[in-house]
Amino acid sequence: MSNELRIAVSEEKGDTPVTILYVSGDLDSKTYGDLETKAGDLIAAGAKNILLDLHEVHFMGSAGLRAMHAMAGKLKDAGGQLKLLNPSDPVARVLKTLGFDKFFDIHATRDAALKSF
Amino acid sequence: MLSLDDTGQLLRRSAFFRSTPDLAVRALSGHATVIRLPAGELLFKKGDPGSAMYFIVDGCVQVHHAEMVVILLEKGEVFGEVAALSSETRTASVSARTDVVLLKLERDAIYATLASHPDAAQSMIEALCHRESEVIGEKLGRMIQARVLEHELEIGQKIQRNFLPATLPAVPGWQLDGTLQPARKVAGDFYDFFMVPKLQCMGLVIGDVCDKGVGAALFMTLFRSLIRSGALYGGGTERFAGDDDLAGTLQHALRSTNQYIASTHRGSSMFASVFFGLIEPQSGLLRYVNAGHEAPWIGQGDGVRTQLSTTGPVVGLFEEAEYEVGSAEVRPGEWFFAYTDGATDAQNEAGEAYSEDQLRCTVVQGAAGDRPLLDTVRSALAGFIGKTDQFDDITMISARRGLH
Repeated sequence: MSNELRIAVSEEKGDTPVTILYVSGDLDSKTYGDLETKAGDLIAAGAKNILLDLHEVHFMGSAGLRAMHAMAGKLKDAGGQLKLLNPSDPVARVLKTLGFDKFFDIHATRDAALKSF
Repeated sequence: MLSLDDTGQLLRRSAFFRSTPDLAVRALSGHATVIRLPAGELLFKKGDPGSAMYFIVDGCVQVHHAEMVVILLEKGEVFGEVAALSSETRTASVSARTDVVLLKLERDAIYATLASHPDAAQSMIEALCHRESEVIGEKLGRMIQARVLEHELEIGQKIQRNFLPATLPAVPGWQLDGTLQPARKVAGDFYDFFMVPKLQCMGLVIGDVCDKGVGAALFMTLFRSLIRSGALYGGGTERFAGDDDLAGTLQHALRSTNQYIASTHRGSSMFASVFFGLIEPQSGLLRYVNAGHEAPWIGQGDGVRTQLSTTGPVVGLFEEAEYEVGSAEVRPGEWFFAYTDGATDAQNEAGEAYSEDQLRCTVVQGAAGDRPLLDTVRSALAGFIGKTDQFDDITMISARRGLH
């Protein structure tokens, strides 16, 4: 059974506003829709830059990867970016094996991530 | 609170009580209690014991099995009569779709009313029969629809089989084998073997399109076709000029497939992990691209000698992706084995995964035996899975090089 997905949101107001999504649980075929919906709502409300905190995500399935790719595409169209923060070990392994680490900006700390936008 | 007359009027509006005699409706309405349920709240779930039926005064409820909504019922409709009038448990779950007001009628009150108003029984039985005939009609309709869909999927399955090689190339000194067991009617996995005459090589491909079912199956045909077409017809040299041509062909096939899908189907975010290798049968040289796929193994009698890790990202997502070309050798007497994660993720009845270690042991042992390698692995997996449903497509390919 997959662990339920929880998403908390915070807004960083600065020269470049960034929306941080703190995700916890499993990001798989049962839960990716929640992330897509949440991100879709935020983008529709004007969010351009999103930082996805993945340190509490312990399983990332292909549906989760597709959701991230779709989010990145939408943000790029809106003139913004999706970046990743501190993925857990199993998620980092998946990102590396499937080559996502080369196409996503991944940061170890929140400060470094926020500065990079 | 609703007055007795109001309640009677309401009940009368439903088809269920339309022909129930006045006295009986009046008696029933005396026993009805009003229930208010906020939107989203569950009233009862499938399998619960139940002794009441409900009449919708206002709002909308949904009848559902787990997450799947079967039907929406609105103002004036009756539900829950099966469990209320018999000893059956609830046949489906019911939740409030909007805020709802319901009238609840308990079994005891209904039977007491029927006992004192025998003429009411006839109208209620008629109403039940009417509902039963509606349900049967709908069930038949759905069965026919399901059959039509099933037939469509069977056609899809047949067509999809043509996207796998019908026969494997006969290559002197080599034994090739491939197997694909779909988890559903159609699969998102694929494999391919084909000769590339201009390079005097054989191509072997294994891939796993993300997701399962029809969507993945449609993309499987695309990935498989583009890779083969890119290798055979695209941009390469006309004459065999050397090792670099193998690398060039691999890169061209993967790059063009990736660019096509990433740009043309950008919105769908579909991707595949793919291993594509070209083997020179004479020398055993293997040049390959591993695009985010489980590392294939090359081994001898006593174990895996080398594994072919990823050389680039999955195919179909990132237009700018570059694929490096790896190099290996299948020596005389050695075997090459590749698989999709359906094999390592296969679960037994206890929910445990087969695992990479166990697959590796099975392959090494199987390679030492007399039976064709993939037959051995397939039976080991079937034994492990037992009676549970196969969770994902399971695909494997092997290429064994003779000693001479």
